[in-house]
Formats: sequence, C-alpha cells, structure tokens
Amino acid sequence: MLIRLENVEKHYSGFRLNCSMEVPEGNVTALIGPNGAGKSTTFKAVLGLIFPDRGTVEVFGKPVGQMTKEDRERLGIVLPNACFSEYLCLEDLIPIFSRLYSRFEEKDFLNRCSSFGLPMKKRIRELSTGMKAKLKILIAMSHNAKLLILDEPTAGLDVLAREEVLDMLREYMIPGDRSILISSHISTDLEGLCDDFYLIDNGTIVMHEETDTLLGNYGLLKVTEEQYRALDKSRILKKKRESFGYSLLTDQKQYYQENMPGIAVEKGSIDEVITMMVKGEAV
Amino acid sequence: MSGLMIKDCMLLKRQGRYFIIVLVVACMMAFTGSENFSSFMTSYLTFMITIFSFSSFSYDEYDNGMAYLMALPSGRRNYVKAKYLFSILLITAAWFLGCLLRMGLFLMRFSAADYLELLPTEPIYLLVCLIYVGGTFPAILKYGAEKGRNVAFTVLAFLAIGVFMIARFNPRIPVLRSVSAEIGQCLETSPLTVLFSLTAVCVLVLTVSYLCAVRIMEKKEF
Repeated sequence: MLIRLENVEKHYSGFRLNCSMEVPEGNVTALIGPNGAGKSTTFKAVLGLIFPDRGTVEVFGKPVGQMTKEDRERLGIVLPNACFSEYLCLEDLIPIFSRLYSRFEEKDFLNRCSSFGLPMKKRIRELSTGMKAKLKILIAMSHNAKLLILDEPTAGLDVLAREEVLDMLREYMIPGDRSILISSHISTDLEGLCDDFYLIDNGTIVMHEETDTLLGNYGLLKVTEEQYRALDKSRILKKKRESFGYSLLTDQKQYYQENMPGIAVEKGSIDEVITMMVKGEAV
Repeated sequence: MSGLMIKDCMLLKRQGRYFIIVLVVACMMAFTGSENFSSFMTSYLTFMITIFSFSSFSYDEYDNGMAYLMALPSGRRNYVKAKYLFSILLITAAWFLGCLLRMGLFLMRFSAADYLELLPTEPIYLLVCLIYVGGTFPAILKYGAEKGRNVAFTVLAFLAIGVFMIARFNPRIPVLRSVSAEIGQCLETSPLTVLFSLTAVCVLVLTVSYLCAVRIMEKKEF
C-alpha cells in the first residue's frame, strides 16, 4: 500500500476531519467532494504538512513523519495555488531541481516544457493560469516519482490542455508500479483516469467505490410520487425531492431496469453521485 | 539543502536592479560625505543585504509557497539550515565588499595609518547585523515574513530603548550605568575586547536562534 490513512482525525474550529483510505500500488485513486469537504486537509496530512490529532498516516509503508529524503524524492506533488516563488524564471528551476532530486530528468523536463510551449525565460508569475498548471504537473513528473499526489492539478486548464495532461498521467502509469492520488472538480477527467473513488463530505469519507462499479452499476431513478410509494427501496441509497417526484440514487440500476421497466433509469456519473450523496436524504 | 540555497541565489539574481541601486546610493553617500561618512558604505551595504535576507521569506511565502517547500525532499530542518547558512554567507559577503569599498574610498582621501585605526571597528557592523538576523528569523518563521519582521523589530527596539533608558536615567541601577560606561571606554581604548565579546554574543544568539527556529518549523502546520 503506497498510502494508508487509518482513522485520521484533525480538528479545526468548525471542522473535523475523520478519514480512512488507502492507495494501493498501480492504482489511480481520486478523492472527490464539495468545496470545504476536507480534500486538501487530507492531502496535507498525507504530505506531513499538518499533524493529525489521532490516527496514523503511512506513505510507502512508514509513518509520514519518518519519511526520509529518499522517500520524499519518490513523491511528485501538485498543490493548488502553490509552487516555487513566482519571481523565478523557468530556467532557474533547472539547477534547483537538479539538486533537490537525484533522479531529476533535465532533458525530458526541457522537452516537455518546450512541447507545452512554456517559455524558459519568463517568470512564473507572468505565465497564464493554464501554463502554471502545466508547469506544476511537469515538475511533479520530472524526477521519476513513484507516487503522485495531485490536488486539483487540472484547475485552470482548457479542454485541450486537460486532455494533454491526462494523457501524460496515463503514460506515467504504464510501468504498473506507480500510483496517483488525485482530486479534481472536473469529474469527467476522473472518470477516464481513475480506478477508484473516495467521496468525502464534511470531513468524513461517505463512499468508496471502483470507477467501473460506479459507472456500470450506479444509476439515477426518476420517479413520480406514486411510483416512489410502490418502489422496492432496499437498493436505494439516497433520495432527493424534485418537481416531478423524486430522484433516487441506486447502486443496482440493473435490478430496477429489469424489474420495473416503467421507471426512467439514467446512467450514473460522478457528479450525480456526489450531488445525491451529499445533498440527498436517507431513504 | 543546496537546492534551497540555489533557489535563494536565483531570487537574489532576479533582484539585481535592487542591489545596483543600493550600491549606487552607498557610493554616492560615501563620496559626497565627510571623513566618517565612508563608514556608511560598510554599514549600509551590510544592513540592506540583511533586509534582503528577511524578504527572502516573503518570496517563499508568496502564493502558499511554504506548504510546497515543506513537502519537498529537503524537509523542514534543512529549510532552516539553508536559510541561516545562506543569510550568514550573503551578509558576510556584502560586509566584505563594503569593507573593500570603504577602504578604497578612505585611502583615496586619508592615510593608511588612519585606516588601520578604524579597522577593528569594521566587524561590529557585521556582528550587529548577524545578531539582528538571529533575533528576527525565529519570529519570521513563527508569525510569517511581514508580521514576524515587525514583531522582532519592535521587541529589539523596545529592548534597546529600555536598556538605554534604564542605564541613562535610573540612578538606582548603577551596575548598568557602569557597564554602559565601561563599554564606551572599551570601544575607545580596547576595541578588540569589544569585538571578541560581541563575536561571542553573536555566536550564542545565532546558535540559540537556530535551535528555536528548527523547533518552530518542526511544530508548524502549513
């Protein structure tokens, strides 16, 4: 297991994180949830930037506080709105990273910067939001890391740039022994990339599911009041009141498609699952 | 650690215009001033570089940068080590440059014998700046660049004013008055004694300051 959080608790005024999750080798795991749900706090706990009140955080099989320099060299990081001083130029980063990472691949980094159209002579602060996002990902991938921890890596990127970045991440996963922990507000990015999802809400993991299961088995039932009353609700996870009646989230849409053909069943998507899990009521 | 020091060197390089202005101002003041004004060269250069060493924290903090830096392989302890080492080396280099320039300017107008008389006082500027660094770095790491700098300056200013006021106006503390008088006399008669004492104080302050800074960083959350 490359990352393991076990009953990690962190208290802030008005917020409490209580989180358990795992990222196995060879997996792309997504942490999704609404703003303020605790995604960034969880990332910070994994990186040792905050100290949990309770529980254990392990990276590469050892407590995060005991990670060595060599362990940290095997991490690639993207944090939202955080990078090296924006007063530096891209070319300044080369000698810095050559010293920070023993496996920094300078030639590859320069080639990728060139193919993304990143100007080496410009200060980071002068780059566009999209360029900064690309740069951060290139830096994270520049030193042959075994584990990427990417908090909102595609924020600010247009559709084409996002596709390029996602292709890079897929390519990065080819060796098979690498992993990615990623969060993003753009769920379509995650659907095509991730193996499994953790949904966090109000500091607590409320769902963990594999992508294939989520996309294949989850569905939204659209029912009227009468249909709702007659429905077998044993396979319904959440309900939400609508003008026509109810939207219902199920993790066994095939059951309803086969047994109740009169009911409209829509394919589940990550956005719908998030919305229903967070805003829906218990049945 | 060397990676972080290179980062600060790069930031320094990007502030080239600032240092040229500092140097030009120092030269102008030294050329146009009186005999004693050449000392301005050493003190001004050393102090301005000391200020830069403080502002290097602002560059690190900009746009949530500290969280990123602390997640890098170098780690928290090495960040502190790199900051102290870089600042001490940089300030010493600036002081040395100041000394050379001052020597040049002084010898253009006065004799070498006169210069040798004031030579022992030169390191005082360096030592005072390093003590200032020692007092300020832990405050910056604890409270952030802007607030920390103000906190440290206020505390040091109050401390200096307090000691001066007590020594000057309180006849009930004759010890302080005599110490103050002793230092004044020492500066004239035996500047080397003051120099060695100040060096010892500087080493002590920097050591304690470094240990405090490491402790602050190891407990800090980002």
